[in-house]
Amino acid sequence: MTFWDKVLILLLSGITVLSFYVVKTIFPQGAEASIDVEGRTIGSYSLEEDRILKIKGPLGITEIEIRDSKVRVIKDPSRYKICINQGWISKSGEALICLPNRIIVSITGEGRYDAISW
Amino acid sequence: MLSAGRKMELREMVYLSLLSTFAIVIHSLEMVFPSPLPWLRLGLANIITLVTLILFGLKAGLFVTTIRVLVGSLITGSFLNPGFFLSLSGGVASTLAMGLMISIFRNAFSPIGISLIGAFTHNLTQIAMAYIMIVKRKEIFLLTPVILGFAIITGTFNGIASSLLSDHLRGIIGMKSVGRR
Repeated sequence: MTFWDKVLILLLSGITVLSFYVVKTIFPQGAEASIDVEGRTIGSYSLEEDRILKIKGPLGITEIEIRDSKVRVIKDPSRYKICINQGWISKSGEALICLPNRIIVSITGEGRYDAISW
Repeated sequence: MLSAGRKMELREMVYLSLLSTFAIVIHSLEMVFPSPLPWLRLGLANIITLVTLILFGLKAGLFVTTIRVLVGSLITGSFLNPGFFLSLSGGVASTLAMGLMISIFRNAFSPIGISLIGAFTHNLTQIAMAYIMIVKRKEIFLLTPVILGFAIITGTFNGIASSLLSDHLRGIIGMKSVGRR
């Protein structure tokens, strides 16, 4: 291995690391948490912004937390707390379902492939 | 009797045929070998391309690469598939890049450096071609950092292998080679 080989390896490693940041800034994770109450979508919230949402359903208030690009339910008036026990969700297509209070939190967004093959 | 020049030509032709055969076999084996991610390949056939470039020059390298992709795709049944065009474009682009590296910088880089340039060119060409021909969505470029990181590892490995193989073959072939170590 010559001196210039080492320079080249460093340079290419640098380009690789740089490309990681470039890609990350060009393509932000476009996922959003979409919230349905009694079958109607009442809003979509970006996962990039941390916040706590208080949503009113037929039984009372359900509290939904968005943090670090993930979503969970922290308070719910239902008896079995199933949607709280589901924990965090973050991938497109996943959903938290608080059935008694008729609230569904689902993640929507593009850029997720099931498979690519060639 | 054959003239010395003609003899040389025949020798080269035989060696190129053998190298092409090796490349085709490696290429085809790699295609059937399972990979954790479908677009991650080791590019072991690149070793043969690089050795050909070092020992016989750019034209021979392009010849071996083209033959490899053509015959390899016929064996694996991927002729004229999207994957075939990705292999062809990546192979030709990386061969050109490596050939130019050898002729411009001569001895500044060992086969490791040249192989790295080849791996990078190969992967960047393929991802660009995949975008133009198949996926047509910018999200494909999300793969770039992963692919480039992988290219550094495979490029270095293939470079070391090429270096050993070309040194060994130079002794056997006993020909004046285009590039040095």
